[in-house]
Amino acid sequence: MSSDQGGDHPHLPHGSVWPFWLAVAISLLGIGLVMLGQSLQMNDPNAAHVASPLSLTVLGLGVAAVVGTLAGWFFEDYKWWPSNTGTGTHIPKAGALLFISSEFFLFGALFANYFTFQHLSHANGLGWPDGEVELPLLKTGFFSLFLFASSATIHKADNHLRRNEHKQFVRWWGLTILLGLVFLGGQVMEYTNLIAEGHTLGSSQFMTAFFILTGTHGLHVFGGLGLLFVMWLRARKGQFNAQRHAGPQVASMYWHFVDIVWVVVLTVLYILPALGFA
Amino acid sequence: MAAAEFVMAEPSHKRTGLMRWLTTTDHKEIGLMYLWAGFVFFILGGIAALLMRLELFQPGLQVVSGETFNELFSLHGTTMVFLWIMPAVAGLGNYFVPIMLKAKDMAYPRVNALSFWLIVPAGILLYLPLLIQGWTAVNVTWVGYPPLSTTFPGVGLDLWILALILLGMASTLGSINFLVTIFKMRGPGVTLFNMPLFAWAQLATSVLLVFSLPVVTVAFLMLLFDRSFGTHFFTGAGSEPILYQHLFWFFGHPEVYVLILPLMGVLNEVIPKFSRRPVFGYTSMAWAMMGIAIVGFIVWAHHMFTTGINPTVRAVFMFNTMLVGVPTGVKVFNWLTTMWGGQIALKAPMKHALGFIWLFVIGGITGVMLGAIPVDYALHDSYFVVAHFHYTMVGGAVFGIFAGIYYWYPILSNGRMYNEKMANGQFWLMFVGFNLTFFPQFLLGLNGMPRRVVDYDPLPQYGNIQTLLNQMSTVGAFMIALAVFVFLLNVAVSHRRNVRVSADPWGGNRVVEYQLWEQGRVKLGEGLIVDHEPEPLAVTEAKARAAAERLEAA
Ligand code: HEM
Ligand SMILES: [Cu+2]
Repeated sequence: MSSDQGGDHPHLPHGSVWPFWLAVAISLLGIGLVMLGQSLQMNDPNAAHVASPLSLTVLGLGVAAVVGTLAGWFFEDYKWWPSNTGTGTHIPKAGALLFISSEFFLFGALFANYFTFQHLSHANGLGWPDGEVELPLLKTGFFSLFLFASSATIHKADNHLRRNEHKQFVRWWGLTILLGLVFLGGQVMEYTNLIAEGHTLGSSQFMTAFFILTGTHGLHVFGGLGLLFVMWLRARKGQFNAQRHAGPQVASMYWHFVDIVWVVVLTVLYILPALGFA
Repeated sequence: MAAAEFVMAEPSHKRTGLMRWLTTTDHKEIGLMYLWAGFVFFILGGIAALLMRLELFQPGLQVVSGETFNELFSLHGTTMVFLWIMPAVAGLGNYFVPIMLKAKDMAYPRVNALSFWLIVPAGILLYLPLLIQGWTAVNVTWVGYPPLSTTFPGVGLDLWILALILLGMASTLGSINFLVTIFKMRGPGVTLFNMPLFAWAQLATSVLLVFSLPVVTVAFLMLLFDRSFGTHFFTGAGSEPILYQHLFWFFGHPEVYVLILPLMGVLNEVIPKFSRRPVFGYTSMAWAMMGIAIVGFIVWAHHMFTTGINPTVRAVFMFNTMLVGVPTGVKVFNWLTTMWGGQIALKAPMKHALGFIWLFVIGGITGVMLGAIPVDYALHDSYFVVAHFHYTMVGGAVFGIFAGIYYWYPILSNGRMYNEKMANGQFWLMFVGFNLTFFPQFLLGLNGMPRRVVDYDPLPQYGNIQTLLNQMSTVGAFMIALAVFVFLLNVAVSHRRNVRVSADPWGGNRVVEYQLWEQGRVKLGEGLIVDHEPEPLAVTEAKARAAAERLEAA
């Protein structure tokens, strides 16, 4: 430990403007969401349920602000890398593990909701799903293969990094991102089709549980891709090696987690009902 | 792994003025900002409480309308839990945990700042509706049960949900930060089983938060979706309003321990110090706190005994609820045993600690009473419950916060000392005022007064006993307000008078945070140097004795 403690002079972590701005940006995003909800007037059955341009603008600004401030934040990591600024290499992994275990409870709550709906629907004699819906098991299963493959490629990238094989590392890492994008594209397609068939967030309890689970997962994939992308940019600048790989390690842990959650979602939402267990 | 040598960036602040505070990542400065913000919201929440007490001074409606009353108690509850006790506790933790661990800082300094900056907009969003004509602030209680919370229109409620989500994010990140700091950042010679018990308290608290907050965040998001995006999670055909209560209390009960454990941690520091004895049963104290945290996860349904949930489930939760009394009792007995045979120095921190024990025991015992299903059937949603949780959260947590602030006052205020006489006056005002406010509320509840109602039956057949009890309660509330005012005055006066100490003013056991502070290693806006040989014990002790004598003389 003691080698970690720096020299004789006092040490203070780097000041940063980004925590403040990120908090503002997240709040703006939230305000945009609230404004959108207000403008839809869902509680009024006679309203048109159309989003107001203002709310969409604020929401858009919020998203842009969050992305922008995160970029600023990550750029600091990039800038500070050569001077070894930070609290240590062993730190990020522990935090990521805790964050992931916290996220397990998040998905746990969403599944609790799913099973509650399912139970109630059976109790009410409606069966499950409680509306007319045919989930495209084969298509989604096909796109899932890309996500599962990406767990393998990121593992391979990790191995190359640990052997200081920089070129292969960057290549496999980039491939991982592409695979993730294909999966996400599949999700977007599936959503588009479902919406075209007239399913919405509130059209049945099954669709609600479906959209909230897969949507939350999709957002995690999206966030994970952002993290992978940042690491990819930094990797291309030669910032990671066999000794210093905390960033990629954290990103790949998170990616595996997103993958595992998808296994459960796919099993519970698609495969079990198709096999008649619902 | 052969880690490269990691360095912190700056010897001290490069920025000054406002920019210094906006950009700081120093755990001590962030800790102070938490405390300041906490007090601002403490005052706002207190004003809401005083208005309610004024209204309840007499039966009938005099001061506020029923609608306003709904806003007042909802704002009061949300504020005191999420914007006063939580930030104040985060402030003390931020300031002292890294020092006690001889860590350079918190593990993620920028994330630490983010946690703080998230609570500021949350507070603003919560109170904003009060400033805008025609808007209604949160009026569905601090727990926000559907169907009321899903059907009451108005953007004020949406903003309340948003504020709670922001606060949840802040605490999740903050807890991860504490856990990683405690597990990975300990300095030379500091181990899990010799670190100060205050750090153990933060550890247990953080475990509670990390696993309970995601669940309630989901519940809040579902509320927002039901209100805004046409879903039917909690109202409508095929929905389950009770699910909200499960998700909320899965967090809500751990949350009440989140509010008390860190202050139990403060007592673990204060009581040995002012009893001039080592803490009794270090290991059992640590495990008791972890025990409280773990059992705290499996008692939530005791808030839902009257909702008609499965009787077997109910019985299990009753059993678990009784179980949580055991580690809690262990802690109380350890404090008492620590004091046993000690030389008790009755300074302000110790007085508040003793007040904590006394009041918290009443709160805990009444909690066990409420944990018995038949008793809860009679007393649920009555003022008895209100009295119960104020004995734990004010008698416990708030007294604990004052104990901590007085105890560490010289470190927190750069060597200034508070005025002991004023602190003494503040303590007695608060102790008497507190009991005057809340003991009558036990009786009010037993006499059948429901909580969260703007008016009450004075019970004329019993000589208007309810009016009398309510009036005692209102008088007591103003005494508490006066006590808080005296405290703030004390802070202001100490700032003006500038009475300074340079060493641990308390004598007794040597503790790491004062030791490092005396050596000039704990300075605001400067990093902690941890690689020095510690000063020989005899030298620091001599300094401490001298300081204590100077203080006696002053
Ligand atoms: C020995 C420990 C405790 C036990 C057995 C206990 C038990 C209970 C029970 C059974 C209730 C539900 C009463 C009802 O609504 O019918 C309750 C409510 C409450 N307790 Fe405790 N409690 C304990 C400690 C604490 C502590 C330490 C705190 C906070 C620091 C606390 C804060 C609360 C709050 C805020 C409520 C009311 C929630 C609401 O309905 O708004 N309790 N307690
Ligand atoms: Cu509880």
